[in-house]
Amino acid sequence: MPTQAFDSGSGRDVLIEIDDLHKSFGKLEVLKGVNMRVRKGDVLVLIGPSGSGKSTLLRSVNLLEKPTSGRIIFEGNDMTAAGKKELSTLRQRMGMVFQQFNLFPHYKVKDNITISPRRVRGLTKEDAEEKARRLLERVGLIDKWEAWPQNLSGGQRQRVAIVRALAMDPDVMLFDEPTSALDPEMVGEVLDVMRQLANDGMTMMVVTHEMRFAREVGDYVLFMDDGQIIEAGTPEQLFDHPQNKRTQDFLRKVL
Amino acid sequence: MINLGKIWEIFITKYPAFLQGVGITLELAFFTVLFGSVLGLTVAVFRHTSIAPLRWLMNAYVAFIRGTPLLVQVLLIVYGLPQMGVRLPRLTMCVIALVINCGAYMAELIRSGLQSVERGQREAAESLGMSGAQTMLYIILPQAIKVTLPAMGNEFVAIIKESSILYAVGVYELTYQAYKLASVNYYYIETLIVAALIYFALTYAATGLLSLLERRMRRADTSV
Repeated sequence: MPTQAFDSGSGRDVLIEIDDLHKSFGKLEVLKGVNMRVRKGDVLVLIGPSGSGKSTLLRSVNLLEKPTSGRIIFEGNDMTAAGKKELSTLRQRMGMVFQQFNLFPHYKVKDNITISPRRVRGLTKEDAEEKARRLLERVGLIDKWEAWPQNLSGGQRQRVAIVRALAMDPDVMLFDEPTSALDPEMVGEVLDVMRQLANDGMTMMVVTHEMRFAREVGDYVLFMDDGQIIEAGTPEQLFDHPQNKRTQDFLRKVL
Repeated sequence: MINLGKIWEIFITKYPAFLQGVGITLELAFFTVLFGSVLGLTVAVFRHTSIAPLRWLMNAYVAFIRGTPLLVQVLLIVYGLPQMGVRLPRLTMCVIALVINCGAYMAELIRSGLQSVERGQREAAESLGMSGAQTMLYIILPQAIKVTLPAMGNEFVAIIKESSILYAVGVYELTYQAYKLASVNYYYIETLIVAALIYFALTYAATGLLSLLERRMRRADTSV
Protein backbone atom coordinates (compact mmCIF):
# COMPACT_ATOMS: atom_id res chain seq x y z
CA MET A 1 0.00 0.00 0.00
CA PRO A 2 1.37 3.46 -0.83
CA THR A 3 2.14 5.58 2.19
CA GLN A 4 0.09 8.73 2.54
CA ALA A 5 2.05 11.97 2.74
CA PHE A 6 0.24 14.64 4.67
CA ASP A 7 0.29 18.37 4.05
CA SER A 8 -2.60 20.65 4.87
CA GLY A 9 -1.42 22.85 2.02
CA SER A 10 -2.95 25.85 3.71
CA GLY A 11 -0.32 28.19 2.29
CA ARG A 12 0.98 29.09 5.74
CA ASP A 13 4.64 28.56 6.68
CA VAL A 14 5.83 25.01 7.18
CA LEU A 15 6.93 24.57 10.81
CA ILE A 16 7.84 20.90 10.84
CA GLU A 17 8.73 18.69 7.95
CA ILE A 18 8.90 14.96 8.55
CA ASP A 19 10.76 13.20 5.83
CA ASP A 20 10.60 9.40 5.31
CA LEU A 21 10.81 8.71 9.06
CA HIS A 22 11.62 5.18 10.17
CA LYS A 23 11.99 3.94 13.71
CA SER A 24 12.78 0.44 14.93
CA PHE A 25 13.09 -0.91 18.44
CA GLY A 26 15.40 -3.85 17.93
CA LYS A 27 13.74 -5.96 15.26
CA LEU A 28 10.36 -4.32 15.68
CA GLU A 29 9.75 -1.64 13.07
CA VAL A 30 7.34 0.86 14.60
CA LEU A 31 7.48 3.63 12.01
CA LYS A 32 7.66 2.55 8.40
CA GLY A 33 8.24 5.75 6.51
CA VAL A 34 6.17 8.71 7.63
CA ASN A 35 6.02 11.84 5.47
CA MET A 36 4.16 14.91 6.62
CA ARG A 37 4.26 18.65 7.07
CA VAL A 38 2.97 20.67 9.96
CA ARG A 39 2.10 24.22 9.03
CA LYS A 40 1.79 27.19 11.35
CA GLY A 41 -1.57 27.15 13.09
CA ASP A 42 -2.40 23.56 12.14
CA VAL A 43 -4.18 21.49 14.78
CA LEU A 44 -3.40 17.93 13.75
CA VAL A 45 -4.94 15.02 15.61
CA LEU A 46 -3.35 11.60 15.29
CA ILE A 47 -5.61 8.63 15.87
CA GLY A 48 -5.17 4.92 15.43
CA PRO A 49 -5.06 1.61 17.27
CA SER A 50 -2.48 1.12 20.03
CA GLY A 51 0.83 0.03 18.59
CA SER A 52 0.16 1.94 15.39
CA GLY A 53 3.18 4.18 16.03
CA LYS A 54 1.37 7.45 16.70
CA SER A 55 3.04 8.09 20.07
CA THR A 56 6.42 7.09 18.68
CA LEU A 57 5.91 9.53 15.81
CA LEU A 58 5.10 12.34 18.23
CA ARG A 59 8.07 11.50 20.48
CA SER A 60 10.34 11.41 17.44
CA VAL A 61 9.38 14.96 16.50
CA ASN A 62 11.35 16.38 19.45
CA LEU A 63 13.86 13.53 19.34
CA LEU A 64 12.84 11.86 22.59
CA GLU A 65 13.00 8.85 20.30
CA LYS A 66 15.94 8.90 17.96
CA PRO A 67 14.76 8.01 14.43
CA THR A 68 16.44 5.05 12.77
CA SER A 69 16.39 6.96 9.48
CA GLY A 70 14.69 9.94 7.93
CA ARG A 71 14.73 13.59 8.85
CA ILE A 72 12.81 16.05 11.02
CA ILE A 73 13.17 19.64 9.88
CA PHE A 74 11.91 22.16 12.43
CA GLU A 75 11.84 25.80 11.38
CA GLY A 76 14.55 25.08 8.85
CA ASN A 77 16.81 23.16 11.26
CA ASP A 78 17.52 19.47 10.84
CA MET A 79 16.73 18.08 14.30
CA THR A 80 18.10 14.66 13.42
CA ALA A 81 21.52 16.12 12.60
CA ALA A 82 21.63 18.58 15.49
CA GLY A 83 24.30 18.33 18.19
CA LYS A 84 23.30 18.12 21.85
CA LYS A 85 23.39 21.85 22.39
CA GLU A 86 21.48 22.76 19.25
CA LEU A 87 18.92 20.07 20.05
CA SER A 88 18.27 21.59 23.48
CA THR A 89 17.81 25.00 21.87
CA LEU A 90 15.35 23.63 19.31
CA ARG A 91 13.41 21.74 21.96
CA GLN A 92 12.78 25.01 23.82
CA ARG A 93 10.43 25.96 21.01
CA MET A 94 8.54 22.65 21.12
CA GLY A 95 6.32 22.17 24.15
CA MET A 96 5.44 18.63 25.11
CA VAL A 97 2.67 17.29 27.31
CA PHE A 98 2.87 13.69 28.52
CA GLN A 99 0.29 11.09 29.39
CA GLN A 100 1.77 10.73 32.89
CA PHE A 101 2.10 14.54 33.39
CA ASN A 102 5.74 14.18 34.52
CA LEU A 103 5.61 17.16 36.83
CA PHE A 104 8.71 17.52 38.99
CA PRO A 105 7.64 16.20 42.42
CA HIS A 106 10.37 18.05 44.31
CA TYR A 107 9.23 21.46 43.08
CA LYS A 108 6.11 23.43 43.91
CA VAL A 109 3.75 24.34 41.08
CA LYS A 110 5.36 27.77 40.66
CA ASP A 111 8.85 26.27 40.42
CA ASN A 112 7.73 23.53 38.03
CA ILE A 113 6.65 26.32 35.70
CA THR A 114 9.51 28.77 36.21
CA ILE A 115 12.54 26.47 36.45
CA SER A 116 13.08 26.17 32.71
CA PRO A 117 12.43 29.79 31.77
CA ARG A 118 14.89 30.78 34.49
CA ARG A 119 17.61 28.16 34.08
CA VAL A 120 17.40 27.58 30.35
CA ARG A 121 16.32 30.94 28.97
CA GLY A 122 17.86 33.03 31.70
CA LEU A 123 14.74 34.96 32.67
CA THR A 124 14.81 36.74 36.03
CA LYS A 125 12.75 35.24 38.84
CA GLU A 126 10.34 38.18 38.64
CA ASP A 127 9.78 37.94 34.89
CA ALA A 128 9.41 34.16 34.98
CA GLU A 129 6.93 34.31 37.86
CA GLU A 130 4.89 37.07 36.30
CA LYS A 131 4.50 35.03 33.16
CA ALA A 132 3.74 31.86 35.12
CA ARG A 133 1.04 33.68 37.08
CA ARG A 134 -0.60 34.94 33.92
CA LEU A 135 -0.65 31.45 32.38
CA LEU A 136 -1.87 29.76 35.56
CA GLU A 137 -4.69 32.25 35.75
CA ARG A 138 -5.73 31.37 32.24
CA VAL A 139 -6.18 27.71 33.20
CA GLY A 140 -7.88 28.62 36.47
CA LEU A 141 -5.19 27.34 38.83
CA ILE A 142 -3.68 30.49 40.27
CA ASP A 143 -4.73 29.35 43.76
CA LYS A 144 -2.35 26.38 43.37
CA TRP A 145 0.70 28.64 43.03
CA GLU A 146 2.34 27.34 46.22
CA ALA A 147 0.97 23.78 46.03
CA TRP A 148 2.97 20.60 45.58
CA PRO A 149 2.13 18.48 42.52
CA GLN A 150 1.32 15.49 44.75
CA ASN A 151 -1.59 17.42 46.23
CA LEU A 152 -3.28 18.17 42.90
CA SER A 153 -5.85 16.08 41.08
CA GLY A 154 -4.89 14.48 37.78
CA GLY A 155 -6.70 17.13 35.77
CA GLN A 156 -5.01 19.92 37.70
CA ARG A 157 -1.61 18.28 37.24
CA GLN A 158 -2.08 18.06 33.50
CA ARG A 159 -3.16 21.70 33.30
CA VAL A 160 -0.02 22.68 35.23
CA ALA A 161 2.02 20.55 32.83
CA ILE A 162 0.50 22.41 29.89
CA VAL A 163 1.32 25.74 31.53
CA ARG A 164 4.87 24.55 32.20
CA ALA A 165 5.33 23.85 28.49
CA LEU A 166 3.68 27.15 27.47
CA ALA A 167 5.97 29.13 29.76
CA MET A 168 8.79 28.50 27.27
CA ASP A 169 6.83 30.29 24.50
CA PRO A 170 6.85 27.28 22.19
CA ASP A 171 5.97 27.57 18.50
CA VAL A 172 4.32 24.16 18.55
CA MET A 173 2.77 21.98 21.25
CA LEU A 174 2.96 18.18 21.20
CA PHE A 175 0.35 16.29 23.21
CA ASP A 176 0.98 12.59 23.87
CA GLU A 177 -2.34 11.11 25.00
CA PRO A 178 -2.87 13.96 27.48
CA THR A 179 -6.14 12.63 28.89
CA SER A 180 -5.50 8.87 28.89
CA ALA A 181 -4.33 8.72 32.52
CA LEU A 182 -7.20 10.85 33.82
CA ASP A 183 -10.39 9.88 35.61
CA PRO A 184 -13.32 10.48 33.23
CA GLU A 185 -14.64 13.48 35.16
CA MET A 186 -11.32 15.31 34.69
CA VAL A 187 -10.94 14.83 30.97
CA GLY A 188 -13.15 17.84 30.18
CA GLU A 189 -11.09 20.42 32.06
CA VAL A 190 -7.92 19.43 30.19
CA LEU A 191 -9.63 19.34 26.80
CA ASP A 192 -11.07 22.80 27.52
CA VAL A 193 -7.57 24.20 27.97
CA MET A 194 -6.43 22.53 24.75
CA ARG A 195 -9.44 23.86 22.88
CA GLN A 196 -8.67 27.35 24.11
CA LEU A 197 -5.07 26.97 22.95
CA ALA A 198 -6.20 25.85 19.52
CA ASN A 199 -8.54 28.80 19.25
CA ASP A 200 -5.66 31.12 20.12
CA GLY A 201 -3.87 29.84 17.03
CA MET A 202 -1.32 27.50 18.62
CA THR A 203 0.15 24.90 16.30
CA MET A 204 -0.61 21.51 17.82
CA MET A 205 0.03 17.83 17.24
CA VAL A 206 -2.25 15.73 19.41
CA VAL A 207 -2.21 11.97 19.91
CA THR A 208 -5.51 11.05 21.49
CA HIS A 209 -8.33 8.56 21.83
CA GLU A 210 -10.85 11.38 22.33
CA MET A 211 -12.74 11.20 19.03
CA ARG A 212 -15.11 14.01 19.94
CA PHE A 213 -12.17 16.29 20.60
CA ALA A 214 -10.59 15.23 17.32
CA ARG A 215 -13.76 16.12 15.45
CA GLU A 216 -14.44 19.41 17.21
CA VAL A 217 -10.98 20.88 17.54
CA GLY A 218 -8.82 19.19 14.93
CA ASP A 219 -8.24 20.99 11.65
CA TYR A 220 -7.09 17.67 10.25
CA VAL A 221 -7.25 14.12 11.51
CA LEU A 222 -4.55 11.61 10.60
CA PHE A 223 -5.30 7.91 10.90
CA MET A 224 -2.23 5.79 11.55
CA ASP A 225 -1.88 2.03 11.46
CA ASP A 226 1.12 -0.27 11.28
CA GLY A 227 3.65 2.55 11.36
CA GLN A 228 2.21 4.55 8.50
CA ILE A 229 -0.26 7.32 7.85
CA ILE A 230 -3.13 5.44 6.22
CA GLU A 231 -5.56 8.27 5.68
CA ALA A 232 -5.76 11.96 6.48
CA GLY A 233 -8.29 14.70 5.99
CA THR A 234 -10.61 17.13 7.66
CA PRO A 235 -12.63 15.65 10.54
CA GLU A 236 -15.70 15.56 8.26
CA GLN A 237 -13.86 13.70 5.53
CA LEU A 238 -12.22 11.21 7.85
CA PHE A 239 -15.03 10.51 10.29
CA ASP A 240 -18.00 10.74 7.91
CA HIS A 241 -16.53 9.50 4.65
CA PRO A 242 -13.49 7.31 5.42
CA GLN A 243 -12.07 5.92 2.17
CA ASN A 244 -9.70 3.27 3.44
CA LYS A 245 -10.99 -0.04 4.74
CA ARG A 246 -8.66 0.01 7.75
CA THR A 247 -9.90 3.46 8.70
CA GLN A 248 -13.47 2.27 8.38
CA ASP A 249 -12.77 -0.80 10.57
CA PHE A 250 -11.07 1.29 13.22
CA LEU A 251 -13.79 3.93 13.35
CA ARG A 252 -16.48 1.28 13.55
CA LYS A 253 -14.79 -0.07 16.67
CA VAL A 254 -14.25 3.22 18.49
CA LEU A 255 -17.28 5.31 17.54
CA MET B 1 33.62 -16.19 85.20
CA ILE B 2 32.47 -12.76 84.20
CA ASN B 3 32.61 -10.25 87.03
CA LEU B 4 29.47 -8.16 86.52
CA GLY B 5 30.32 -5.63 89.22
CA LYS B 6 33.65 -5.07 87.57
CA ILE B 7 31.97 -3.94 84.35
CA TRP B 8 30.36 -1.00 86.10
CA GLU B 9 33.51 -0.23 88.04
CA ILE B 10 35.63 -0.15 84.91
CA PHE B 11 33.17 2.19 83.21
CA ILE B 12 32.95 4.57 86.21
CA THR B 13 36.66 4.76 86.88
CA LYS B 14 37.86 4.85 83.29
CA TYR B 15 35.08 6.74 81.54
CA PRO B 16 37.32 9.60 80.33
CA ALA B 17 39.27 7.10 78.23
CA PHE B 18 36.07 5.58 76.85
CA LEU B 19 34.65 9.02 76.11
CA GLN B 20 37.80 9.97 74.25
CA GLY B 21 37.36 6.81 72.19
CA VAL B 22 33.70 7.63 71.54
CA GLY B 23 34.71 11.11 70.41
CA ILE B 24 37.18 9.79 67.89
CA THR B 25 34.79 7.07 66.68
CA LEU B 26 32.01 9.60 66.08
CA GLU B 27 34.41 12.01 64.46
CA LEU B 28 35.58 9.28 62.10
CA ALA B 29 32.02 8.28 61.22
CA PHE B 30 30.92 11.88 60.69
CA PHE B 31 33.75 12.92 58.39
CA THR B 32 33.71 9.61 56.56
CA VAL B 33 30.02 9.94 55.72
CA LEU B 34 30.38 13.62 54.87
CA PHE B 35 33.29 13.26 52.45
CA GLY B 36 32.23 9.77 51.42
CA SER B 37 28.88 11.16 50.24
CA VAL B 38 30.58 13.85 48.18
CA LEU B 39 32.93 11.28 46.68
CA GLY B 40 30.10 8.81 46.07
CA LEU B 41 27.98 11.49 44.43
CA THR B 42 30.81 12.49 42.12
CA VAL B 43 31.55 8.89 41.19
CA ALA B 44 27.86 8.11 40.63
CA VAL B 45 27.44 11.09 38.31
CA PHE B 46 30.61 10.29 36.35
CA ARG B 47 29.44 6.72 35.91
CA HIS B 48 26.71 8.26 33.74
CA THR B 49 29.10 10.31 31.64
CA SER B 50 29.56 9.72 27.94
CA ILE B 51 33.35 9.76 28.38
CA ALA B 52 34.04 6.03 28.34
CA PRO B 53 37.50 5.89 30.03
CA LEU B 54 36.21 7.97 32.93
CA ARG B 55 33.24 5.61 33.25
CA TRP B 56 35.53 2.56 33.27
CA LEU B 57 37.77 4.15 35.88
CA MET B 58 34.79 4.83 38.16
CA ASN B 59 33.41 1.32 37.69
CA ALA B 60 36.84 -0.19 38.41
CA TYR B 61 37.16 1.88 41.57
CA VAL B 62 33.78 0.76 42.87
CA ALA B 63 34.41 -2.87 41.99
CA PHE B 64 37.89 -2.91 43.55
CA ILE B 65 36.87 -1.27 46.82
CA ARG B 66 33.81 -3.46 47.21
CA GLY B 67 35.86 -6.54 46.42
CA THR B 68 38.65 -6.03 48.96
CA PRO B 69 38.63 -6.00 52.79
CA LEU B 70 38.45 -2.66 54.56
CA LEU B 71 41.39 -3.62 56.79
CA VAL B 72 43.63 -4.20 53.79
CA GLN B 73 42.59 -0.84 52.35
CA VAL B 74 43.36 0.87 55.66
CA LEU B 75 46.79 -0.81 55.91
CA LEU B 76 47.57 0.14 52.31
CA ILE B 77 46.85 3.80 53.00
CA VAL B 78 48.35 4.04 56.48
CA TYR B 79 51.62 2.29 55.57
CA GLY B 80 51.56 2.95 51.83
CA LEU B 81 51.24 6.74 51.86
CA PRO B 82 54.30 7.34 54.09
CA GLN B 83 56.32 4.97 51.92
CA MET B 84 55.36 7.15 48.97
CA GLY B 85 56.59 10.19 50.88
CA VAL B 86 53.17 11.49 51.93
CA ARG B 87 53.35 12.45 55.59
CA LEU B 88 49.99 12.99 57.27
CA PRO B 89 48.67 12.51 60.79
CA ARG B 90 47.59 8.92 61.25
CA LEU B 91 43.99 9.88 62.00
CA THR B 92 43.83 11.83 58.73
CA MET B 93 45.13 8.85 56.79
CA CYS B 94 42.51 6.67 58.44
CA VAL B 95 39.77 9.10 57.43
CA ILE B 96 41.12 9.03 53.87
CA ALA B 97 41.00 5.23 53.85
CA LEU B 98 37.47 5.16 55.25
CA VAL B 99 36.31 7.86 52.79
CA ILE B 100 37.71 5.93 49.83
CA ASN B 101 35.92 2.84 51.10
CA CYS B 102 32.66 4.60 51.94
CA GLY B 103 32.65 6.49 48.63
CA ALA B 104 32.36 3.26 46.67
CA TYR B 105 29.37 2.08 48.69
CA MET B 106 27.76 5.53 48.51
CA ALA B 107 28.24 5.53 44.74
CA GLU B 108 26.28 2.27 44.55
CA LEU B 109 23.52 3.66 46.77
CA ILE B 110 23.25 6.85 44.73
CA ARG B 111 23.26 4.86 41.53
CA SER B 112 20.22 2.91 42.59
CA GLY B 113 18.69 6.23 43.65
CA LEU B 114 19.33 7.63 40.17
CA GLN B 115 17.76 4.55 38.62
CA SER B 116 14.66 4.94 40.77
CA VAL B 117 13.84 8.32 39.19
CA GLU B 118 11.22 7.76 36.50
CA ARG B 119 12.26 8.07 32.89
CA GLY B 120 9.51 10.62 32.31
CA GLN B 121 11.32 13.09 34.55
CA ARG B 122 14.32 13.17 32.24
CA GLU B 123 12.04 13.37 29.20
CA ALA B 124 10.09 16.27 30.65
CA ALA B 125 13.29 18.15 31.46
CA GLU B 126 14.75 17.53 28.02
CA SER B 127 11.54 18.53 26.31
CA LEU B 128 11.81 21.85 28.15
CA GLY B 129 15.20 22.40 26.58
CA MET B 130 17.37 21.52 29.57
CA SER B 131 20.86 20.23 28.81
CA GLY B 132 22.05 16.90 30.17
CA ALA B 133 23.89 18.63 33.01
CA GLN B 134 20.89 20.79 33.93
CA THR B 135 18.60 17.78 33.86
CA MET B 136 20.94 15.93 36.21
CA LEU B 137 21.49 18.89 38.53
CA TYR B 138 17.96 20.28 38.83
CA ILE B 139 15.73 17.28 38.16
CA ILE B 140 17.33 13.85 38.59
CA LEU B 141 19.88 14.31 41.36
CA PRO B 142 17.64 16.03 43.94
CA GLN B 143 15.10 13.21 43.63
CA ALA B 144 17.79 10.52 43.71
CA ILE B 145 19.43 11.94 46.82
CA LYS B 146 16.11 12.13 48.59
CA VAL B 147 15.44 8.42 48.19
CA THR B 148 19.07 7.64 49.06
CA LEU B 149 19.21 9.61 52.31
CA PRO B 150 17.92 6.83 54.61
CA ALA B 151 20.51 4.39 53.24
CA MET B 152 23.20 7.04 53.70
CA GLY B 153 22.15 7.31 57.33
CA ASN B 154 22.55 3.57 57.71
CA GLU B 155 26.05 3.94 56.33
CA PHE B 156 26.82 6.30 59.22
CA VAL B 157 25.69 3.62 61.68
CA ALA B 158 27.75 1.00 59.86
CA ILE B 159 30.90 3.11 60.03
CA ILE B 160 30.51 3.63 63.78
CA LYS B 161 30.96 -0.12 64.04
CA GLU B 162 33.39 -0.75 61.20
CA SER B 163 35.81 1.95 62.29
CA SER B 164 36.68 -0.38 65.18
CA ILE B 165 39.18 -2.15 62.92
CA LEU B 166 41.32 0.99 63.09
CA TYR B 167 42.50 -0.31 66.47
CA ALA B 168 44.86 -2.39 64.33
CA VAL B 169 46.75 0.71 63.25
CA GLY B 170 46.73 2.36 66.65
CA VAL B 171 44.06 5.01 66.30
CA TYR B 172 42.65 5.89 69.72
CA GLU B 173 39.07 5.09 68.86
CA LEU B 174 36.74 3.24 71.18
CA THR B 175 37.96 -0.31 70.54
CA TYR B 176 41.60 0.66 70.90
CA GLN B 177 40.88 2.41 74.19
CA ALA B 178 39.14 -0.65 75.54
CA TYR B 179 41.88 -2.97 74.37
CA LYS B 180 44.54 -0.78 75.93
CA LEU B 181 42.72 -0.67 79.27
CA ALA B 182 42.18 -4.43 79.26
CA SER B 183 45.83 -5.13 78.64
CA VAL B 184 46.62 -3.20 81.82
CA ASN B 185 43.82 -4.43 84.12
CA TYR B 186 43.59 -7.96 82.63
CA TYR B 187 39.75 -7.83 82.77
CA TYR B 188 39.47 -8.45 79.04
CA ILE B 189 35.87 -9.62 78.91
CA GLU B 190 34.54 -6.98 81.28
CA THR B 191 36.35 -4.10 79.60
CA LEU B 192 35.31 -5.18 76.11
CA ILE B 193 31.71 -5.59 77.29
CA VAL B 194 31.80 -1.93 78.32
CA ALA B 195 32.98 -1.06 74.81
CA ALA B 196 30.30 -3.25 73.24
CA LEU B 197 27.57 -1.61 75.33
CA ILE B 198 28.80 1.83 74.37
CA TYR B 199 28.81 0.86 70.67
CA PHE B 200 25.29 -0.46 71.05
CA ALA B 201 24.10 2.73 72.76
CA LEU B 202 25.65 4.80 69.96
CA THR B 203 24.17 2.83 67.08
CA TYR B 204 20.81 2.51 68.82
CA ALA B 205 20.62 6.26 69.35
CA ALA B 206 21.82 7.02 65.83
CA THR B 207 19.29 4.62 64.29
CA GLY B 208 16.48 6.17 66.33
CA LEU B 209 17.49 9.65 65.34
CA LEU B 210 17.62 8.69 61.69
CA SER B 211 14.19 7.08 61.64
CA LEU B 212 12.82 10.20 63.34
CA LEU B 213 14.31 12.33 60.56
CA GLU B 214 12.95 9.96 57.96
CA ARG B 215 9.43 10.23 59.39
CA ARG B 216 9.74 14.02 59.39
CA MET B 217 10.78 14.00 55.77
CA ARG B 218 7.91 11.78 54.76
CA ARG B 219 5.45 13.98 56.60
CA ALA B 220 6.81 17.08 54.84
CA ASP B 221 6.21 15.17 51.62
CA THR B 222 2.50 14.62 52.05
CA SER B 223 1.50 17.96 53.56
CA VAL B 224 1.49 21.32 51.84
